[in-house]
Amino acid sequence: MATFCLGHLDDGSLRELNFMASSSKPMNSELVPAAGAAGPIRSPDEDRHFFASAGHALYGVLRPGTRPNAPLIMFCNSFAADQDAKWRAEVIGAREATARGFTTFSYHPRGHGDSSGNFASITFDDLVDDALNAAQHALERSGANRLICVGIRFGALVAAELIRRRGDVSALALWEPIHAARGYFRELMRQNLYREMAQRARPSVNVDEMMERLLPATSITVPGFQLYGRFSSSAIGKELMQSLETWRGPTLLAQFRKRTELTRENLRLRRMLQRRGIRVAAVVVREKPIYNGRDDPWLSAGQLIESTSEWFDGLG
Amino acid sequence: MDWAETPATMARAFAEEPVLFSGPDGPLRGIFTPPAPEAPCAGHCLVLPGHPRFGNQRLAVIAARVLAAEGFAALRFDFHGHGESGGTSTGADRNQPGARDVDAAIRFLCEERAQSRFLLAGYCFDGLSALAGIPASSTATRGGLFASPPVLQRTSAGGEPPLTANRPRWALRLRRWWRHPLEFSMAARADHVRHPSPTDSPNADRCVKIAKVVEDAIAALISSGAPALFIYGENDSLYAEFKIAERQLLAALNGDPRRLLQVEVWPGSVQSFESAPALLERTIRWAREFHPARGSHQL
Repeated sequence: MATFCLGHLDDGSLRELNFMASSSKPMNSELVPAAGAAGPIRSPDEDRHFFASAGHALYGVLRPGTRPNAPLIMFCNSFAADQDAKWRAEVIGAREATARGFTTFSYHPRGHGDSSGNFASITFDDLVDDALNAAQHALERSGANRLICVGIRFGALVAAELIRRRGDVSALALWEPIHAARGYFRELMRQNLYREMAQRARPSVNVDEMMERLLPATSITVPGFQLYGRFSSSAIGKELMQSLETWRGPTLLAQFRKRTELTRENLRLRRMLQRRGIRVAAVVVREKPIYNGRDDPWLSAGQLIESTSEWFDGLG
Repeated sequence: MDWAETPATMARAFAEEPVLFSGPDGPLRGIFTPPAPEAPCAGHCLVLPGHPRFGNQRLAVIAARVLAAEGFAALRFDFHGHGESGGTSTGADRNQPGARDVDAAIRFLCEERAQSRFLLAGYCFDGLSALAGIPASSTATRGGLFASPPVLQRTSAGGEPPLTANRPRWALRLRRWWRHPLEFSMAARADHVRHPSPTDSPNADRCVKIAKVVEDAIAALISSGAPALFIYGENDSLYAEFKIAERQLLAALNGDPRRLLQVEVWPGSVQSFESAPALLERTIRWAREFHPARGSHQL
């Protein structure tokens, strides 16, 4: 379980946010009476629907807020099996932001969740196209004219590409972002080696050899899913710092790790953005990052959601 | 998963309807897939609970669309505390399966979508929940597919073997060193080697306890006459659990009641995501048996 949450102010100093109370308390996604309790079911006004993107049916949820002229908050979720656990955090985070008056939009890109599409044939550009179409669709449906993007894990790379291609994104929140697709794929493959070693087997290939073998027509088993060469080859050169080269808006960098300090990649990103005069808020949520399994702390990511919501509020 | 859509399944995707219904622990959200109007009516609705509903490589999403294109209705939904459903976020706990959520889903389908015959299917915890939901809906349930559901209570199915559970750590280390003097590293040993499941013990039948919900569900299945298919992998720890249930619950059955409960044991493992395509294919083939135009099961 979480112990506490540290926030880095813009000047780089640390502050302890008062999340002790929420850390031990599981998050409830909405406050509604149970069936059988007095009164009719009260549910947030969620517009859940399918919309078209490049011939695919994408699942989307628009949660209308009450703040006039507030930007729309759009979430770009993580990739493959990583989405399963992060989706709950996204839903709760979006509902919390909506409760604070913001309109939010969540969607499933093709090959993911409830959307259509073959996971084996998607490319990184497909994910970005879906994000662009989702943004356009959500803005039209909600009547908003500006966006705030939340990139979750691999979704950070997608959100950064979205920002590069659109001029109406006013702020960016990154939840435990993947900084480089190549590093992410290598990490997944390294976990294969750990698994083999845990089973007392001598790993037959190393990570470099696995990377070499992952050609566009092949696939490799990584924890939780099949990584297809078609996708990895389309994404392998993507880097967060490169995609954010022209970014100028306020940014939240949330780290979800056991360590108290920002990782080297997060520090580099923060420095790069600060050099451009960008306001960067960094939040360190001290959780053991279990990315799969029944105790996944993302299921009750209360501190992350609370600090992100406070940051949204602070944007005005 | 490598699964290419057809125009028929794509049409079902566009026809899907997000639904909201009340459950005992908060509102539940799911996706209802209406049957294709051009397909002969199957007369059954598939109920696919999940945490989230698209977990395990979207098995439920794909199965719902393929079978809806063939005339089945389908509902996949999130348990409370998972996905988009209400309730407090929790991990999946085998001692608290989502039976009441399954019951709420079936009530919703009866009342709001005019469905009357149900096929329940689920994998692992979702399978246990579907199984546990049968007693409440046994008159409407026409069949169930349960892939690798846990059947023992958690206190006895995991953790330390009963014989060593109360020993101090130094005593365990000394015992291990005595038995394996050349192996110094504990860290390199897999969990299942360090802590073998109590189901491996020759005294397993006396050490472990079958979950009450499983006993009730099997009794309900037998009394309802609905056929059930259990799928396990021969290398899976959950199959070791199920073998105990087989000995304790199923061995005493004979004749028709036993024939209703079919058990398939696949080579290797079902508890791995690599088995998802085979599970999907088997789920679809199993559901087709209930289609009046194609299958062997009568309405």
